[in-house]
Order: sequence, then C-alpha cells, then structure tokens
Amino acid sequence: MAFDIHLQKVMAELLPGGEYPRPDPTGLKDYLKWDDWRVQGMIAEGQGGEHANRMLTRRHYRLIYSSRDRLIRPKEKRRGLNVVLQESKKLQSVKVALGDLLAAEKTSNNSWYKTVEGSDIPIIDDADAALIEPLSYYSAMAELNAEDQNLLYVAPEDVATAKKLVADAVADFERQNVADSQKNSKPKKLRKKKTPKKPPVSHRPSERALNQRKSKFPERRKKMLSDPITTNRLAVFAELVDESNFRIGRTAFMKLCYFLQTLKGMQLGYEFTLYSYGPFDSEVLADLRQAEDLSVLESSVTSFSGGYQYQFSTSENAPLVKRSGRKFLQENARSITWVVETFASKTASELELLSTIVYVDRDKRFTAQNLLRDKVRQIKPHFPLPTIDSRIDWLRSQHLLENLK
Amino acid sequence: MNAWERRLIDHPVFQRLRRVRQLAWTDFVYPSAMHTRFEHSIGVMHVAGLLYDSILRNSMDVLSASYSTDGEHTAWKARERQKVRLAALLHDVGHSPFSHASESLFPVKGPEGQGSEKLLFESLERKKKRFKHEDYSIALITHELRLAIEDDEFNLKNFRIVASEITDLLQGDPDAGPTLFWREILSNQLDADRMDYLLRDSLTT
Repeated sequence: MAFDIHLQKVMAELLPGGEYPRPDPTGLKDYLKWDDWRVQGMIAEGQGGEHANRMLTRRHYRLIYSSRDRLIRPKEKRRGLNVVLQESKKLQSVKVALGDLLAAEKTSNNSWYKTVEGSDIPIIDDADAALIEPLSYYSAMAELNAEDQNLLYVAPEDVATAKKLVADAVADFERQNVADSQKNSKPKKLRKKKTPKKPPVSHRPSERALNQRKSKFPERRKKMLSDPITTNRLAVFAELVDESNFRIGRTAFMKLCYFLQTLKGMQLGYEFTLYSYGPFDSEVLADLRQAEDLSVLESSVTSFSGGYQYQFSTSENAPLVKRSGRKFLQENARSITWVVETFASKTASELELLSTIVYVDRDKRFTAQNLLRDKVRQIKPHFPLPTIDSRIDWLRSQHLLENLK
Repeated sequence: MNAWERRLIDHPVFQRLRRVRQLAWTDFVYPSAMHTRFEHSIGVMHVAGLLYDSILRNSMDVLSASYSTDGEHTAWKARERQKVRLAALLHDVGHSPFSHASESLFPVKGPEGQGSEKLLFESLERKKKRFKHEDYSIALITHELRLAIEDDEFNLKNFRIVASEITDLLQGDPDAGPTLFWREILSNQLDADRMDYLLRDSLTT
C-alpha cells in the first residue's frame, strides 16, 4: 500500500498534464504506450521526483498505525454507532499526536463480499438438496471485510519518533476511555435494575431518549454527516421502510433506489447497469450492509422451499440517521412517498420487469412500443409478450417513460 | 484455445498486458508476486469457459427459457460460449501501469468542467466522475481490437461476432439481450475474474 502512495505521486509527475490520456481514438494510442516497463525505466533514469527516489532506494513510507480492519463485528451490532465513534476518536488522537510527521493516509473501504440476499451465494446442502443457506452461514471468510480501515504512514526516518507518539496517544485515549466509562457506568446500572423487561426488537426510542443520546454523542452525528452521500442513502432506506407497510426485501430496495434516482432525479449517486434481473449497483448492497452494521436497519431471513429471502425493517438508530439526513429527506419527501405508494407493494419479479423497461427506454430511446417490447423480451424471455406490453402501457399511463409517450 | 483466441492474445494491445503487473509493487513484500494481467486474463477466459460449460450441463432448464430452445439445437451454445470467453479474455485490456495503483489519475468524464456544478456533493464528484479502467477496455475493444475481432477468418467462418456484442455484454447494454444472463459469471460476487485472481494471487503472496 505504501508503494501505491508513492506510485500515484510519481505518475502524476511523469504523465503530461498529470493525468492519463482520454479513452477516445486519439488518446488511446498514447495510453497504450504506458506500461510498467516504461514507468520503471523512467524511474531508473532518475525521473519522477522525490517519491520515485524513495521507491528506487526502498526509503518508502512506513505504516505506523491502522484502525481495526472491520469496524463493526457481528456481536457489536447493537453498539454499532458507538464503535464507529470510538474508533474515529482514537484515529483522530493519533493523527493529532503525529502532527507534521503524518506523511500519508489511506482508507480501505471496499468489501469484497456482500452478505445480503441475492448477493450472498446460495449453497445447497450436500446431505439435503432442499436445504439452501447463504454462504456466509458456512464460511467465516465471507464475513471478513476490510471496510473503513484507516492506515497512517510516516517517512522511514521518522519511524522511531512516530512510534512513541502513537503509543502515547493510544495509551492516553484508552485511559480516558476507561475513566469515561467508569463515570457513566453507575447510572446505567441503576437504570437497568429499574427496567423490568427488555424492550422488544421493534421498540423505538422515545423523542426524549433520542435527544439525550444526541447531546451525549454529538460526535456520532458528526461522523454520520462526514459522508453526506452515505448518510442520505441510509436515511432514505430508513424512510422507505417507515413509509411502507411492507417489510422490504433486497430486490425492492435495489429497484426503489433505481426508480428514485432515474424517475425522480434523486441524487443518490448510484451507477446502475443492466443484468438479466434488471438494473443493479453493488453499492446499494454495500449500503444495506452498513445500515445493518449501524443498527439503522435489521434483517430477518425467511427460508422457503428452493431458497431464502432477507427482509428489512428499521432498527434503533433509524431515527438518528433520518435526523442526520433530514434536509435531504425533506427535499425528496414527495418522491419517496410516491415511489413507496407506486412500487413498494409489487413483487420482486414485477419490479425487475418494470425497472428493465424503464432502463431500456432511457438507454435505447425507442419511440415504437414493439421495439421496446421486443428488446425487453430478449432480456427477460420468461415474461410473455402480452405481460410486457401491459406493463409498458401502465408505465406510459403514469408518464414514466421518457421516449415512448 | 482456438486459433482466433490465440491471434487476439498475440495482438499488441493484449501483449501489453505482459507489462502490467497484477499486484503492482506487492513483490516488494511478497517477492514472487510478479505475475501480470496477461496470464490472469487468459485464466479468466479459461474459468469463464468452465463455468459456462457447467451451467449448460447442469441447468439447461433455466437456459431453455432464456434461449427458447429445447436444448438440442447447438449453434447458439457455441456462439454464446465464444462471446463469454472473449469478454473474459479482454475485460482487463484497459488497465493502466501497475493495475489499480494510479487509477485516480484517469481523466474526468465529459468535457472539462461539465457536470461538476450539477452534483450536490464534492465526494460524489470524486467518486463518480473519473473514467475507470473498464472504460479503457471498452474503448480498446471498440477501436483498437475491432478489426482483429470482426475480420478474423475463424470468426467469419464460425460466428460472425461483432465487437459491440463483447462490449454490450461487458457493460450491461440492453442490446446484449439474452446474453446478459452470462454477465453474472463475468462481473458478480464470485465470478470468473475473482475465481482466477483469488487462486493466482494467493499462490504468490
């Protein structure tokens, strides 16, 4: 990872204008001239500046601190936001302690495997072919994710000093943390004794409790707001579930987000591309997972013959995230209500067909219904032509097709 | 591997992948991690072919619905298999030096300045507006490799596959029609790409 930091700086220095040629017929010829050999040759000849020199002499930056490789462990889901907050505060303490010695910071935020319905690979039991469970039930590997891991680097000449600063900062943070938790532990115990029953899963905190939590953890809200896109997306998820009388499944989330973005122009920032099951962006699944990790949503698995299904409902932190994204929700309140009323009660199969029709309409701009119908039929051949026609008619009647009026 | 695939591998655009390491500078930590996008791409083509054959062998009932066939007529099977293998072979031709390491230096999409004011959030712009290596792969197949695909004698004799059929499959264009079914084995949770690199990368690291 440290070499990637240097390489990026070196390439910015070596490339004319600091970036690669464009992927058009003119730019491609020049682009093809760039390969590892050329870059290494230029570095060997002394080009590429200080960072090239560091690579050549192996005086590359050294990793001095890394946050936990996955912020929320499954067992910590109930405390999700608090875990994020603690980790973020610890990181900030270390960064402040390092000061100018901090040479570079990298964040790893890709999870390679999405454990939500439809993406979690179904595994057929060896002994019982009727028993189908998601891969994550069997494999610990599927649960390993390098999400939101922050990595801090310093120059090799600063390692000794930096190590001490980091150790001191972490020790200070832990001490402070213990002191804080001791201070807060007594009233908690008293409250626990007075509470006769554990609240049910669907329990939602009162307005007063929410306000208390808000004033207690102002940084938590700051953390959520630090990435406005994710905050807004999670707020929309929570709102979709709250507005709907149905427990929403993964397909519905995917397609409702697609409709909101495409038909209502909502700036959710997804990039949908077409699969045989309709428009899809794996980021929706990543966000659903994060919503679960942060206790914004919770899912239950329903098994049925031939498969399983996840359904989502809101969880304890849904009101908080909705509060963080309230401006976005207010701006788009009508769109969300509309998409729930129009689509949320439809089956997954129906949503796949409708979203495919909308996608093809936008992409191919057919102005004749038979062309649109035939193209959709090619993609979804198990739907009879009259069914496709009737759904096109319905979308037209709702003025939801851009090119087929 | 057929003669057409061999000729595509011999094409200078594909041969360039011999000079693009799969794991960038990872060899400074794991000295054997010197493999390139060249052997990875050939591996992905191989795995995609195996997946295709396996699905055909075990799930013909699903495919019959997609292709409106009784499973006996074989012409479409060979043609679809070839498209899937070529898409797998060529999916990474657009990689920049050292694979992913300098992708943040890809230019911003669209004419200069366009679009930025339309976007609400700076982070959204950062995330979404730059070209990706997939865009370079599509452009290279469309422009630099088009003749090598469309005018190849093996192709002309057997399939008459055009370059846009490969790019439609890779990009998820509606024009791919029923072939979109196979996009799952090229780009999904556990696709031919991952099956190859998880094995190949773990062997050397």
